Amino acid sequence: MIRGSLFAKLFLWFWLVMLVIGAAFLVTQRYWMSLERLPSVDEMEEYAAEIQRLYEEEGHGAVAGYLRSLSRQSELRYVLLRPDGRGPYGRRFPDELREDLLSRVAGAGHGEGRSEGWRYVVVPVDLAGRGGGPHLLAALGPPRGFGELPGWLRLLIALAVTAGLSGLLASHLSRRLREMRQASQRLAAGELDVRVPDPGPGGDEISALGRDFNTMADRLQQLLDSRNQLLSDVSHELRSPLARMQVALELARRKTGDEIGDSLDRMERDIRRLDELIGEVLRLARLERGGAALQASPLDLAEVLLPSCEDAAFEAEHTGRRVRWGAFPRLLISGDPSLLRSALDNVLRNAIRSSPADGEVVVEAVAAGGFARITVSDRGTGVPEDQLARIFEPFVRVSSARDRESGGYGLGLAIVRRAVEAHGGSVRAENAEPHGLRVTISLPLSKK
Amino acid sequence: MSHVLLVDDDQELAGMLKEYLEGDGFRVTLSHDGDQGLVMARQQEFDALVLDVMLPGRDGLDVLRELRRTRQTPVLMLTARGDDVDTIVGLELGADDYLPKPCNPRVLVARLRALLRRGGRAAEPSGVQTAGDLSLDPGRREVHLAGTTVELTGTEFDVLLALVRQAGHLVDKDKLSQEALGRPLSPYDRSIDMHISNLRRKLGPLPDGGPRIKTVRGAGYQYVASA
Repeated sequence: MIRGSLFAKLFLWFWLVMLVIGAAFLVTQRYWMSLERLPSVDEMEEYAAEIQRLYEEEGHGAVAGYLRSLSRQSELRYVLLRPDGRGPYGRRFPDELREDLLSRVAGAGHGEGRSEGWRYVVVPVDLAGRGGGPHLLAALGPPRGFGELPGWLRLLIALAVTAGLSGLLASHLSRRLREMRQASQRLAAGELDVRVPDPGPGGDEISALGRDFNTMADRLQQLLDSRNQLLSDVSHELRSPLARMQVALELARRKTGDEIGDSLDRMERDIRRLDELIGEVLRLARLERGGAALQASPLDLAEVLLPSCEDAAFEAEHTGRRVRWGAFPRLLISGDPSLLRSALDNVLRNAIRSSPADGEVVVEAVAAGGFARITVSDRGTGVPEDQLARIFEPFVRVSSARDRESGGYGLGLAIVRRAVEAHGGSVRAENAEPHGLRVTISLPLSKK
Repeated sequence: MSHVLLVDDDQELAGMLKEYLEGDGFRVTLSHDGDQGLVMARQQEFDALVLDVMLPGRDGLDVLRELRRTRQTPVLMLTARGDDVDTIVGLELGADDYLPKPCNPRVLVARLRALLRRGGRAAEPSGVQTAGDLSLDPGRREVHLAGTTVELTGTEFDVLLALVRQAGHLVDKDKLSQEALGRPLSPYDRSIDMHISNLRRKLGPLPDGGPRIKTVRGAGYQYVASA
């Protein structure tokens, strides 16, 4: 159980990373970071004095031996060269350095500098005593590893390496959590069939969490499915008594006189309302159940929009309202014509119902940015700003006067949203100036 | 007296509808399941059939499909409101008209009368209409396409007749609805469009490959007068 558990993974990873960092620290310390300090000019003056003494007392051999012994003690190289370039005593060093060093001698005589990645300190040595003439003693630090890099670059490399390692660790640990997060976001957005990949039995705590997530999603889907099924079944069952009531009502009308005609009319109206509501519940339930099984085919949206407008205009005429639209451009999309048709019908019906008597509903359609955009505007009272998003939820009542008489938004706009989203589109509502509601449906255009 | 077969599994509803229809002068025979209804519709001569789509066993659409193999009796379908698919499939299978259920029996009577009136108009004295390779005989309600007989339902025949009478001219949907269904066009009504699409399927394109019936978007349909 310890093996493969998240605890073990975290433990081992942290341990490993700490070990790696520690080892790296030691290695860098040893080889790269601790550049040997060059001797100061004062120290060099002392060496120079010693060389001068050795030269005068013991000659060339002693000087060469001294330089060798100096060099042997450290990684620095000590050389003695003549201003004319001949020489040197001591260890070999790159020719390209020679020019640089000689030019310095010609100048100040002593000092520090860098050249070709080498660091150096030079002081003049006068070996004139036995005819040697003026020389130059140089201590040279060979170029080595990162020590030669400027400080900021070293810092950058250190940051990059540690960030890389940490990133590797973090991504290893968080990848599956991220996948799960995406899955739960999609689930929350209504994609009920989304599941995280299951690595099979065993695995660590994250795999277990993934399995639990899948179980939860299954359960959620079952619940919603059974709710839809229930709604659908209840609605179907309600229809039969409703149909009988309707016929019984007409039989009653025939058998009685006019005195109860008004009451019968009212009953009939309510039967019709109930019936419409049931129809909407059924449609919504069907949409929620079969959102994925869209019968999509290529179509010109204008071909769906135009008859929808015509029918709406026809219906609006009875109540003295108007529907106005211009010529629609070709809007090629992939979609289910009957579903889109019912979505457009619902938006238009809602707009007509919201319009004041003698009001006008305006329908426009354009292609913009890869989307077909249909706007339906009415001249009604609009909807309070903070309630705009909610009108696409089932049975929402907003606190404005009109919904008391129109019975709220019912399911019409909820059906619109489901239908449009099933097509990969979106729908939103906003208040128009000076007043009224504008509903915009965006549907992705087919790619050429 | 017109004899109507009513196929509906809701016995109570069917009983009341029978009472209502009889009050309006129809003779009504009831059937409560699809199989029995189909047998009755095949064996007896009915003036019209009222067929519920939702039936136990063989459903209304199946009954319609089977019936249309042998008979062109006018069929009025009762579909669940909001179920466009059933409606469209029903009209495709050759139903003459449909009513969403629950329906007002007054409307049912009006629709039935319209269907029957059209059936009774068969004897009207009008000669054979021809347009290109197509000829229609309103007296015998027969259609011949390049010499072969095409089976059309009563409503399809009437839609075609209305178009062919004015071949080469636009016929608006309202007029088609009046002529073929005996009622004005109502909003959200797909019947005429479905009958047209059935006609297109059954008749095929013109000999030159062009479309036989042209859609004039937002206005109506036109039978293309071939050269």
